[in-house]
Amino acid sequence: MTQDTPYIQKTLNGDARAYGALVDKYQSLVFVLVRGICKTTADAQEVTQDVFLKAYEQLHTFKGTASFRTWLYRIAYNTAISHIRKTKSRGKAGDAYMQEVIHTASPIDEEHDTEREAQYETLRQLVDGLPPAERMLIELYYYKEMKMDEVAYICGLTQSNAKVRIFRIRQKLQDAMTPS
Amino acid sequence: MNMDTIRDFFEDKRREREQEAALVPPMGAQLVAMIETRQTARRKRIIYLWIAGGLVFVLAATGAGLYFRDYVAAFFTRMGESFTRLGEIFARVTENIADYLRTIGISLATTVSGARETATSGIIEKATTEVSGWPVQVWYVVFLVGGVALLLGVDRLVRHRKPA
Repeated sequence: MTQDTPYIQKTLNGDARAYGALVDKYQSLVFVLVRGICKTTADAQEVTQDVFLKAYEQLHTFKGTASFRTWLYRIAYNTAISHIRKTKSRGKAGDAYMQEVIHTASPIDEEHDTEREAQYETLRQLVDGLPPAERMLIELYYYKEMKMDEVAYICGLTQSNAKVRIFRIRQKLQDAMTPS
Repeated sequence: MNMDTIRDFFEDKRREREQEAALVPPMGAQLVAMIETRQTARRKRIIYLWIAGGLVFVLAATGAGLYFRDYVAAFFTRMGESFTRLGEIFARVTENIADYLRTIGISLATTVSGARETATSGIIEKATTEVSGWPVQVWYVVFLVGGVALLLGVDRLVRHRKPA
């Protein structure tokens, strides 16, 4: 029994407004996750909306074995992956995202030294070059409050499989960043 | 380059997205409105589908009935005949059972009352002839004893009842 349970119950009983409260609560979390592979903010907003519509339609399948947040993340993961497959805009997404990031960069970012910025730039290119599923996997791994079993559940993997994949991705990134 | 740099990179990235997310207006109300519109549309669609389906069924049934009317008529005639035959069989069986039960009833009644099947007179005559005979007196005694036993039983129950 979590604090979301009453809202979920109300929604299942036909009260769509209770679902609105859940949307407002988790909107940012979902947006942050899907933004990683969406071309623009508007795109990410659209995917976020799709995620919540799908979640509403599938809410009766939510058994409470995982937390609502993790369950929602799983839907977000699948929706984002299918979105990127549909639009096939992976290459462009990176450019668009980078441009936006440059425009919206905070003053703290501007103070970073040039070496670090160069490293970040290389990392950005490497991460953008990863397949969407791998990109989301590594990003989920670095979410500070996310546990490995949650990451595995969201990506539909076993815990050991998720660990192996993450290890390989990190290795790949590190190898690419290390000067030969 | 170490793992910390990668971690910092992802954390910075997340922070940037969180800043972006903060600028996105809440979509709860908008989504609720969208869901309600969709539900209304779905309900309407289901109603229209039912109506259309019903109409198609009625039209198809009427068309088929008209097209195959001879076969249908023959089918119903045959059905009617079959029902009539079934009804006849049922009536005969019922009649036979009723006859059988009546026979059993009469034989039981004669055994219990003592009226003999060989008597040639009617029911009133039978009763008046048999009332002075011993079988009726035996029943008087039986009922008398039974009545007395019942009264004694009730008296005992009333005397020995437990207070509520």
